[in-house]
Amino acid sequence: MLTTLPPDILAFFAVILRGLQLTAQSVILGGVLFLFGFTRPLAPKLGGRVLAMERTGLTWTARGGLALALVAGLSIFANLSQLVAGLKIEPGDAMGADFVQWNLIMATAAMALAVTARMQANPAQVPSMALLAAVVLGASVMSSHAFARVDEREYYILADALHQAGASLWIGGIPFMLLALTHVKESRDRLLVGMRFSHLFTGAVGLLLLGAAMLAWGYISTPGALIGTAYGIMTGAKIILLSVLLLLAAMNRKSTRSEAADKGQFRLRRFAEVEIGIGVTVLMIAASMASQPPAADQTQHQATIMEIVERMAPVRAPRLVSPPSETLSIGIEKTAASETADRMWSEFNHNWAGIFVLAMGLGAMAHRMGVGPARHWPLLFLVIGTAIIIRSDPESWPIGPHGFFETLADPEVFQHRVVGLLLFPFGLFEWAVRTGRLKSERAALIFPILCAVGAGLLLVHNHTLTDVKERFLIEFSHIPMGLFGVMAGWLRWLEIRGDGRARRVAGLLWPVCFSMVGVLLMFYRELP
Amino acid sequence: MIRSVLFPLMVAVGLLAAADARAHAVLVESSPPAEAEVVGSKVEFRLRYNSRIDAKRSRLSLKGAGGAKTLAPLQGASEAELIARVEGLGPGRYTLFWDVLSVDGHVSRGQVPFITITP
Repeated sequence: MLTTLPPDILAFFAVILRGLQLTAQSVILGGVLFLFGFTRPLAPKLGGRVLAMERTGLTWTARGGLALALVAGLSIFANLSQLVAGLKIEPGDAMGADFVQWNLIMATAAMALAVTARMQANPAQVPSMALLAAVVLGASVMSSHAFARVDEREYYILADALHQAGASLWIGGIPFMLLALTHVKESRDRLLVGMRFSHLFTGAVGLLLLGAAMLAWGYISTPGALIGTAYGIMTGAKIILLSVLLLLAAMNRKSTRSEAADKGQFRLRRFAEVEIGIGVTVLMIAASMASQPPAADQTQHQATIMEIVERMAPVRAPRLVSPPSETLSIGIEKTAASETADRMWSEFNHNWAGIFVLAMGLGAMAHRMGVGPARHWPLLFLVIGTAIIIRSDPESWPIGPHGFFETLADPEVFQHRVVGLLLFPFGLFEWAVRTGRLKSERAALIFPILCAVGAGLLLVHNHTLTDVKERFLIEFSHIPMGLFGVMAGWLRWLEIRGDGRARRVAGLLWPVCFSMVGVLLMFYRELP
Repeated sequence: MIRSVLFPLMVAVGLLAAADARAHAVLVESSPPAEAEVVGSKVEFRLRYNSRIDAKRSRLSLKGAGGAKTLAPLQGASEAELIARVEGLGPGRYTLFWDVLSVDGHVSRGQVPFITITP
């Protein structure tokens, strides 16, 4: 069976699995931080409540361990499949590959950690879990770029270990802070919880930044590589999202100093939810970067600032007329004319999508200002979803010669199909919320979640083109769209879940971010 | 709330975080270089990458006028280098296809076209 799987789809799943692995790893490290850095040292002050907190914390950590063991197992399977199907290596021989071996170690340690977390409490339990979490972290570092470096490998391994440890402890620690807050009622205790985690997270962020600086020094090294390569701009996207996280963390720090600044730590909890969401997005970008060569190694095909500015500048009106499908390079040998038609086709799709997205952003603003009929704006998602399914892959069903399932193995087609189909429930849910058909908060949260997920997809989405620089220039335009989309999603989340000034500001800002995605799409270009 | 909404979100982001694995190992230098003319029927290949390569689990194949043949690569002077040799090539255009596994688990592909000419 392994040999029948197409290599591209296996490589595609390998990236997804890496993102899930980093997320599960964060839960584990966050759980260990919770036990070692919070419940154990503060047990005398928190009294009997610690037992209930630890019980839930151990359950979450055990689930994280099980999830990681499963993901590492699937990673081994995907990697073996790739070696067997793509490189025609015997399965037994493929088992000896370094990546497979490190993932076996990771899966074993994660499973052992899950079992340890579920055991009866004993003195060795928490130290054993910490040791196993360190093994998981080590195995993760040893299956990253750092382990594959030719020169100064020890430096990169140390940098990556610091970076991954900091990110995992911080992002993975936040759910456990929220867990602790749900177990305390008094103001003094809430401040104690907030203050303690604030100190722990400051240390984690320190590790993260130190590791990031060391990695950037080696992997990116020049300003040109930061701006002109896919690895570089993804690093830029991570830096921007990290800045947002640090801003939220700074505001949370105030909440931990005085009850008057944030009554009941309500704002802190809402910001923490947003931090988890943005944090996971950053982990996914990191997973995508792991499949790309470091910027410093890509000395050829780097785009210059002038080439980027030239591509991004809105020098002409949106393309509102599509080239005929007969002119595209479908089933014929590519010519300059057919490739130009392909790009015009893509520009038409993006530009029209932009018009609809902008219309939705403006509709959301108008609805907020009291224009009643504007509440139907989410129905425009159905138009975009239909257009994506029909037009995004002209070689496939319904307008191309290939069947629906035939082309699903192509990662790009797969992504388009998933996104196109998702837009239907997405639009209908939000429409039902806006028109009062659905009243629960949970239903209202569907829109911000899928908005953030879709935008996160843009941040890790790759176009499969042979021309490296051209592919980069297309991806460059996706980064600001993705960032605006992620922010629109999480600001809307805050508008629904928050209160006071945070709610008002978020309510004003998210339609602006959403509209900006539309504006960027309207002027998206693939042709010089 | 956290468990019911944010956990599915984490999974959803993961499932949608679709990115095709692209050329991870970059070919830094090759001998012969791409589009080079090689004199004679014997060619010694030397491929140097930006990362450590698992030579045992990497593949080279040569395609040309006489058909295709698989070559067994060996590790070169460093862990980032693959070497292989072929003999008995007639004059003409050939392409060396490389499929390499870097030690961090990524498979990368590429090719080096070259021409052999008679001495």
